[in-house]
Amino acid sequence: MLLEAFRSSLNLIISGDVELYRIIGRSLYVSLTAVLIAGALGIPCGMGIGLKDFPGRSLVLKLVYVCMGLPPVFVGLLVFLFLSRSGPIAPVIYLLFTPTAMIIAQVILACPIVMGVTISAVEDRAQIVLRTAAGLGASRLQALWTLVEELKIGLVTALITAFGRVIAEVGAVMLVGGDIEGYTRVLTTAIVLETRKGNFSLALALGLVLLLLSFLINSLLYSWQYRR
Amino acid sequence: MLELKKISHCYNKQWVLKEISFQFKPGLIYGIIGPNGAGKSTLLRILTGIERAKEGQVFWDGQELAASIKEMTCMWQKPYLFQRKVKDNLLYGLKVRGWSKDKREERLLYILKKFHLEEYALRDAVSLSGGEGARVALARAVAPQPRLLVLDEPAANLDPFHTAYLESALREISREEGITVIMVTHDLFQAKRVADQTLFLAEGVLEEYGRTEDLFTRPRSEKTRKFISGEL
Repeated sequence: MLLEAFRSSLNLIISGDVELYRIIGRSLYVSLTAVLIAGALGIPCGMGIGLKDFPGRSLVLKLVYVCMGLPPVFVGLLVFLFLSRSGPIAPVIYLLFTPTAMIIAQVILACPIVMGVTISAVEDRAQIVLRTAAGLGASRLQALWTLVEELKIGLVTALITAFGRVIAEVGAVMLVGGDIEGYTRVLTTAIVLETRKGNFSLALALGLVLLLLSFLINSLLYSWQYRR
Repeated sequence: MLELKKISHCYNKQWVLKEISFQFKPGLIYGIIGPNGAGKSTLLRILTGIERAKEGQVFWDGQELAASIKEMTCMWQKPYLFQRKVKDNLLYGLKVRGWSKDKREERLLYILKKFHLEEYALRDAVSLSGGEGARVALARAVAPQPRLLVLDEPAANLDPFHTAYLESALREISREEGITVIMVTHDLFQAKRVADQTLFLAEGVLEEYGRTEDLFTRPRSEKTRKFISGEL
């Protein structure tokens, strides 16, 4: 069955099936947007927590590390309740069952991962990098930028880890996206749907496409990381 | 130049520096020696502006020092090299000071030659050995032509060959470019070989200072004598 699935997935990709490419495009759009937003929020926050000593820091650290393992279904449920007709923002804007809702859920899943990995990277090297930069005449801002440059491998690792988590999750996007064909259907929700329909071959083929996609994105980021 | 006025500092109500006053003169190499816990590293952090003294003031050209200044560079114990090429490490201090590209290139060539680093220029700094790394770190610290160079145990963990190289390069560049050097070292012989003036710290007090030769041959304080003879 695996061999057949592999052949089917290759056929699917080669045949240029429009719906498949739309699903791949949507999966990439949702997950990459979520990771970019999580990076924009999580990297500065992670650097701040890693650099500063403040009251309650250890509690914040524990919370971040706990949130790194948030169950996607639980996050999906919270976002669902927040965005639903009876939620607090419904009178202003209704976002449930849209790609935006899926991005919000994935940002919540990805952000603690980006923060956690960033904090580890910062704690490991920040003091020595900042002290060296300052000792060579760098201003505070220049020293911080040097720190970002020195930590780039750690920061890319944070983004890769977060991407791996959100591209493969199904619980949250299923709940808040609703798996609407042509609108919120992504690779993972399509796999669930095909499995429920008993179409195992296609489900496996989609799974292999997901794996291939994840492999390609990770390979690109890793090669960039080591080329730098 | 740099002046310390009644510097005192404490951690958790324990005084580690007590009323230290001293004026560093331009162009000389100063060695700071003393037993473990004498307050050498704390003094270094205060005079570089990394830490503020609880009491007293640090003056630079008559102005009170509030933070690190551009005329000063530091080379810390077990120096950290940025994860980039050797030449980019050497250019770092010049870039953050906004030197023009032409001036940077000219200075880079001079420093590479001066420290015999031509063949290392394009190597990744992380691939260097401890001795080579220390040489690059010293070259990087003098590249921006600082007026004051602060060194914290510059030869810690180095073999005799690299230690000798570092000391000779330090003396040469300091004389050529008129750089004032303040060097903390636990190695008495190193202070003797390199420093023009030596300060001896004990229990947070500046016990004695003066010409290195005088301090080692005719110490005025009993504590200095004991430290030099290995009794303290």
